[in-house]
Amino acid sequence: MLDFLFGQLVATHATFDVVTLSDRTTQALAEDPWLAAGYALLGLAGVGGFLSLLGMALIYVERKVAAHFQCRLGPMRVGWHGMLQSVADAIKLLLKEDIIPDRADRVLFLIAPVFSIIATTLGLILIPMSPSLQVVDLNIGVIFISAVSSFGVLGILLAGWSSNNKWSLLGAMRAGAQFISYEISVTLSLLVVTLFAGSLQLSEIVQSQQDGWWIWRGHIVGLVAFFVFLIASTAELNRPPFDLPEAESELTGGFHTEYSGLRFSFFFLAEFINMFIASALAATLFLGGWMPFHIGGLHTFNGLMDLIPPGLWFAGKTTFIIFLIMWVRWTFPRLRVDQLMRLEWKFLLPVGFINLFAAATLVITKLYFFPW
Amino acid sequence: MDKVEIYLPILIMVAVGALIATVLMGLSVLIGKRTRSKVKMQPYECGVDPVGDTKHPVPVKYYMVAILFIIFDIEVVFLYPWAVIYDSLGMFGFLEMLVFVAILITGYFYILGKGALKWD
Amino acid sequence: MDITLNPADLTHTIAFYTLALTSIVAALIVVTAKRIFRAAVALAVVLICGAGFYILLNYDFIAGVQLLVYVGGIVILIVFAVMLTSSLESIEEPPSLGRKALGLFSSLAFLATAVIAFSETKFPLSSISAEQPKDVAKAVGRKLLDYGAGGYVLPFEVISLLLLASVIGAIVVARNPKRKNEGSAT
Repeated sequence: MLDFLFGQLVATHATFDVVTLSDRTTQALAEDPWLAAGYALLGLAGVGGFLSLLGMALIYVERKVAAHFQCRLGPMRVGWHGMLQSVADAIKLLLKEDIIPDRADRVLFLIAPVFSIIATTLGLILIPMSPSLQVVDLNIGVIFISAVSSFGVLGILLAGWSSNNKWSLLGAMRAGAQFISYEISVTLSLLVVTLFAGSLQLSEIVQSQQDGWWIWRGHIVGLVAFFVFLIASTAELNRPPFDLPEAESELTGGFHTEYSGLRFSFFFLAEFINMFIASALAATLFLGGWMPFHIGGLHTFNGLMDLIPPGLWFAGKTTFIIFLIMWVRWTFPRLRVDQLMRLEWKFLLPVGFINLFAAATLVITKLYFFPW
Repeated sequence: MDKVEIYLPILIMVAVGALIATVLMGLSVLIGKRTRSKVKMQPYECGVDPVGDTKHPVPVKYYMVAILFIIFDIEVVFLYPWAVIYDSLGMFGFLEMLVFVAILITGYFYILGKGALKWD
Repeated sequence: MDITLNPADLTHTIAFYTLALTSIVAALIVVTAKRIFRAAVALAVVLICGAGFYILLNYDFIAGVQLLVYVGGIVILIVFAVMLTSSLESIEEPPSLGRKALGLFSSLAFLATAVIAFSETKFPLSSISAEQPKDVAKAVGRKLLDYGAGGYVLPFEVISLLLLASVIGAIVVARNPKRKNEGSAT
């Protein structure tokens, strides 16, 4: 009956062909070099603009969310409801005097923030935001993203070491240990999705969720993997309640104690964009990325869902996860170092392995949730 | 599309990113006022004069964690090619990986038993 | 042998020489840097260039593994070791004449071995490029988990034993029961 009513919609059922920006550039290169150059410039400007605007927006949102959790108003002065607060802050950071301590290792001190920001950019360009909005789509997307995120922690270690400050060094050590511990859990939950999708390519993983998102079709296994991923990547981001590397009450600023002005803002920006990347990755792997909410077989329903453009689906899911991470931040107290290590090595790691084998069993027995 | 060319945008991104970061830092040096003083250039220790240097023994357990990470990381790397083709392997693939991981889980219990993961 | 130079080959050649030059320079920094942490950073650059070579050979999965294990793992381990043993101000002392001579001798011997090995070995270029796998991760998986002829399932399982041995070795070496509570900072 419904199928009859919405017959037209079924006919226009979208197919989602992925065309990345680098594909477009290569295709244009054969016909018109100027067009290719235009695409390349557009990509560069787009990524740069997106990076800085998104960073500023996220900082503003974080302050507002924090304020409302604490029954405050947050920034209200600059622009409507403080909308331009981040812009003012950015200008302030640019104008600030930047200090290189006398005892620091100047070369490494200068390289460290650049290292961090480049690692973040490389992660960002792999995220599939919609079928037509992705810069590059690598065969080994999943591996590349986790490899690149470890460059970021190398930047933090570099910063902590080269500052020659006790707080920085302790913060960097903690950041390093924390990152590498939780990296295993992140990888184990990435593997669950790789098992389901049979691919490491991010766009293929999104397309494998055409009959339903993995958190839905993978039922318990998908849900466990999703939460392990969320906890472990919050820890990798050094965000509260896992913010030991920059615990203000113990280490003043942690690894970036000696950084000021623009160089500090690079670390700050990288941290917020990394939060976006982690949320976008969680959305892509478990919540279908830009894939609308589909239930395999129900063509009418799927057709209705396809009316909402894929980019909006992606934005909505990612925003939801970002909000979740912020919510966690303002709800839980900070962990101690021993609690942090216990959580990973004695809880998340065994859970991750058991879950991986549960996923393997699920794939063999094809016990997917609806459609079966 | 050739596989190698797909990495070209990444290379360009790294180059341009480094360039922009350097230019911005240079700009900030030009715009910002700079005054040096001996106290300002000291390492920050909450207002007091720095005590000693940063040569401070770091506990061995950090190194321990790094070693364990590498071992598990290598294991996980072997799981990737398995996961990609798992669908076509069937039961045999499941058993193969069960043996592989079971041997390492023995190692995990050994670590637990030795108390290497105790962080006190 | 006839080589026609098309734009793609030219890009490959440029990329290869850039990577080669960068890794040689970085490798020189690794051995000559007086500050050991800078050497570690240069080592990371060398390893990243190694990943670049794998990509040029079309083995992107291996490149990913190289980045994941070496840059993300080994370099961080080395950095931890540096933090464990030295401080920023500690600068490497120039080695004695005997050690210099020994180093020169061993590196020359290694160079000679490498040159001889590379010039003697015949690399079957054409046969490799003919069976270039489309998805490297899948091809590696097939080879690794295949129990028939040409499969490597036994070595694969033995790797797990090797890793187990390294777990036990790491514990035995690093856990010295006599030295408890060394260093209080966490």
